[in-house]
Amino acid sequence: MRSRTSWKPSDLAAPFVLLAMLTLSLSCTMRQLTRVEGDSFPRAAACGACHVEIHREWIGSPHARAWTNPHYRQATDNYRFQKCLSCHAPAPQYTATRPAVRTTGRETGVTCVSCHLEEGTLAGPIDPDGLVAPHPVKVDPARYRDSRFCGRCHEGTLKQWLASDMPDRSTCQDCHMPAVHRKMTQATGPMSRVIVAFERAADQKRHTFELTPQWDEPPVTVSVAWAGRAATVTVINKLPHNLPTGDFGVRVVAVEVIDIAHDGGARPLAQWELTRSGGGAIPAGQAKQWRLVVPDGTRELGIRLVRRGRDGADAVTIFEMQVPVP
Amino acid sequence: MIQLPLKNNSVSRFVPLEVAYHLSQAIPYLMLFCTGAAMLGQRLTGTTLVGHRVLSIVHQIAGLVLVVAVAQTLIVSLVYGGFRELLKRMRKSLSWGLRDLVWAAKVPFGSGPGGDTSSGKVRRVLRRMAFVPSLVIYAEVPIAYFFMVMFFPVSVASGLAMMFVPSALGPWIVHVVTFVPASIFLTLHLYRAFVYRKTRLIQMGVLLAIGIIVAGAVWACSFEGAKERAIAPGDLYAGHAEATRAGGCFTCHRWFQPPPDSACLDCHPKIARVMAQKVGYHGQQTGPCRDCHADHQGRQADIRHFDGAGFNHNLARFPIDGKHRRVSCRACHLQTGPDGVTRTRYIGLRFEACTDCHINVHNDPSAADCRRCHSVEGWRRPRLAFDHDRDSRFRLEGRHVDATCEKCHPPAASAGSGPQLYGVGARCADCHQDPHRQTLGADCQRCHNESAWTGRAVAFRHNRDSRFALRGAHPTVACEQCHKPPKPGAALAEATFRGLATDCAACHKDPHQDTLAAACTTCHSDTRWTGKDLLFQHNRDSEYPLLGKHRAVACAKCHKPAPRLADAHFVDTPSRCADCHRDPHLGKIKRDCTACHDEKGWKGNALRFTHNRDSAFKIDALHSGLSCVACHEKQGDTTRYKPTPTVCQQCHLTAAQSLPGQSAGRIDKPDPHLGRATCVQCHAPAVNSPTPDRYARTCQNCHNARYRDLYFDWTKSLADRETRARKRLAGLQRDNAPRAAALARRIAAAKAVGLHNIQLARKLWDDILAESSSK
Repeated sequence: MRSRTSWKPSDLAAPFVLLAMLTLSLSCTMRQLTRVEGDSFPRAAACGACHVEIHREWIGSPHARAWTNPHYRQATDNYRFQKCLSCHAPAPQYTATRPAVRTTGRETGVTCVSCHLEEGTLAGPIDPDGLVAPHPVKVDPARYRDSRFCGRCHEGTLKQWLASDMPDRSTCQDCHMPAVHRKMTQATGPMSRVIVAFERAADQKRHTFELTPQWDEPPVTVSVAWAGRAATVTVINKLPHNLPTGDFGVRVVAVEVIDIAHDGGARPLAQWELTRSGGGAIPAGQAKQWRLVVPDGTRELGIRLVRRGRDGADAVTIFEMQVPVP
Repeated sequence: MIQLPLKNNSVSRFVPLEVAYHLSQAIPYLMLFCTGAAMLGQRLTGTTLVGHRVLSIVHQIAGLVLVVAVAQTLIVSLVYGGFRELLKRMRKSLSWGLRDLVWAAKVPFGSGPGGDTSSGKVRRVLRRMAFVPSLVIYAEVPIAYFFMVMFFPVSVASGLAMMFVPSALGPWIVHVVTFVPASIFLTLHLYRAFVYRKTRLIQMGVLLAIGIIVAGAVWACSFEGAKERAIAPGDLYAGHAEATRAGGCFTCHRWFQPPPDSACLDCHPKIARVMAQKVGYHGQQTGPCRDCHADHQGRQADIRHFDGAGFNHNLARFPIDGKHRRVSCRACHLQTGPDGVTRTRYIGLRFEACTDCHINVHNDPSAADCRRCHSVEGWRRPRLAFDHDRDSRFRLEGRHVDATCEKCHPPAASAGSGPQLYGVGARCADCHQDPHRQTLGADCQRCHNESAWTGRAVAFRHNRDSRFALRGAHPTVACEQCHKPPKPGAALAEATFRGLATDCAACHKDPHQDTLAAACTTCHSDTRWTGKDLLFQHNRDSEYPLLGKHRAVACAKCHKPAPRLADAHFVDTPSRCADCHRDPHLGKIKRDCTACHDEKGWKGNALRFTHNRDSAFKIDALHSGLSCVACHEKQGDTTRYKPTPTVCQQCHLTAAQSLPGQSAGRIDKPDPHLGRATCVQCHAPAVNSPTPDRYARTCQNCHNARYRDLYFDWTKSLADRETRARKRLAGLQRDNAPRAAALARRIAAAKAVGLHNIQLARKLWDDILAESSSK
């Protein structure tokens, strides 16, 4: 019998077999990306092979230094206090009801797997649209865009955030992970360049975890009201958490007032500290005032809001303004 | 067609099925007829050979069986096609005329269809109808058929009506009347069945004889009232028979309803009234009268069914209890009515008050409510329910309980009436005489009670009831000392009790020669004039309170002596310290003595100086255990009181140095608490010897709950280091004393830092351990 077509059933199956083999081989080769064997977790460097920019951001973030920074090491008496460890080197979060400490790779601090590894898969808030995914992906935006996700470790701040009754308050991720439009992975060679070329850019989050991010409108403002030579300095905290916040370590925000144009340079006039502990912080949405009588001869005041670390080092200026004396 | 087999000479006219059909109707019919005839006959003759009730039940059962049998026959005829034939004959029977009656009358004598005894003709006739049930056979005799058709439904209907509408007169009369056609039908049927002429004649003869005997018996026994007897199930009660003589059956009965209760109640108005008012025994009864009072049970029958002894009197709303049980019915119910006739009466009586039957012997209308004291259990003790305390206005107490009744309730003047129970006076004076000559008023009970007149029983309490309370020594004085009887030896009751003076001077003399203006009672009590019982209290009543050691000083030291203290000086006594005491401070202290000293003593604990009140430095709980010299150094033989440091850091030097990061010459980073927390935030002044847990909570108060754990972590961590360091120190002390001393100093320095600068302390300890282990 003469056949009108040369297709055979086996021909139809061929592409599927090929596809299956490809999938199988990919999943075999990349299994180390999701595999948890004994104490071994996938390392950040492995993730960084493709997620180049995220890895780079993370390297410079406080999360990467969570374990290695000397203040933490001293505060835990050289990693002696067990209760502190779990949030500074968290194990993957997928089953734990509370953070647990990793047994390996602790020096990488709060690393990729701490947030993104789930059982046999890697989870995140964004749908993958690449040509191939070398690892299974689970999409759970609700979880990853929720402040409570961060609050598993940053519990005090989360408590403040939950208690702040601001309308449309930003989540943790809104401010401390600034938005960016880019592809999920970046090419490092000719092969990867082909694969990345098929990927589309999406709205993502930077993994910088900045302590003092950049805002369009400063959420902490300082204003001065005058009555003669008496100045009333008001600091308004529009953040959805206390100023300063954080549960551990030395957290100090200081208001510094200087006489700018004094004879022979600036002269400090006053300094008020806001400390996290003991009720010194400004709660979310509230303000704090100080009074200051400006000495004669002062023509212009400089007011700075400074975030200070331990020992007064690594100070960061949050807000700065000059005010002429009327 | 069914072939009828002929055997020998006999004629077999019916197939077995037909015989069965015939018997199924004939047997119940005969039973109906016989029982009906028996009941009727017994009634007419007034005899009772077989119980009427038995006959009635058999009669009803037979009737129901016959209805079923006839219905079965009709259904079979419908199914097998004989019904049309039945209808045809029924129509024919209905068109019966006078000629046919004449013909029927001739039948027994040979001109009817049965007159011909030719078996061939009979067989021909019967064969033609053999396929229909035997019922149709009667139709050969139209008169019988007619009667069957007419009376059978009527009889069944009236019989059922008798069963379901009791005592309705219509069905009753109809049913009795149907006995006549039933007899005729049976007679004719038998007549038709007897094929031989002789047999028929015998039958007629027998029937005639029976008729004559029955008629004769009825006439002989009592033809009078035969109509009533024939229909009524029994003779009426004599009274009812009398009452219905004019009205007849319809006095009570109706055609198609049971006799209404109104028929009874029209003649028994008392019952009607109590039932309408729902009182008495009948007031509680529901249901028709005949349920209890069925009549037609004979002239003398007791249709009241009243059992005097067994009557449940509770149903008459008058429970018979106690002694009433032993009283015969007639004792109460034998009454003389308004008609003047005395007989037992039950209906419409009311026994409410006891006096309806009993006489009030107390001669007082207020005693009419007997039940206040008496019960049905009996009139007298011990059944008397009367309790003098509860039921009379006069409670019996004290001696009154023992007094005989007659003392207050004199026996009756006339026989037949009880003692005087009412109207006896309740006041004391009604029975008792007043020995006080009426000086104390008429109300004896103010002082006396029922237990006795004199002694302890006198309810008079001098302290409560008189203006002069007896206190102290006064109660021991005999009454007669103040209340003197009119003449010696007279009873106290006759003495003067009112108008006596109450001031002290009325009886006592003043030993102070009038130097003290105040009243005697300011200083003296009733108990005694002198000593401890003196009411005067120096601290309260003088301008100079005696406190502390002044209390031990003898009175005469200040109140200059006289032979008796009562005669001494009590005014213008010295009152300033210097009047009696010498100043040991030689005038150096300008303040008044009392600023620091009081009467308790000059020195030591008696000193009134209070550090917290009188100095700038308050001794809090933390400092409370310290001795004075811990802060106030002795310099030679004087103690330095000024200037004394008041700021924490001035005394607590190591802690003050540790916070900025200094310890034994070493300079390190300051503790974050420096300048941000004050000493008292951690070291609460109010808490002496604080526990570690308290410190931990102090951390938690400013930071968070996890700092509590951190506190313990750090204390344990530093304590571990100290333990190890001390172990090494112990080792060194054996080997190298000078180095051990140096190590001990460093350990002391590290320990002094404590938690005031944790990182400094950690470094100090780590240095000690590193150094001592390297060597």
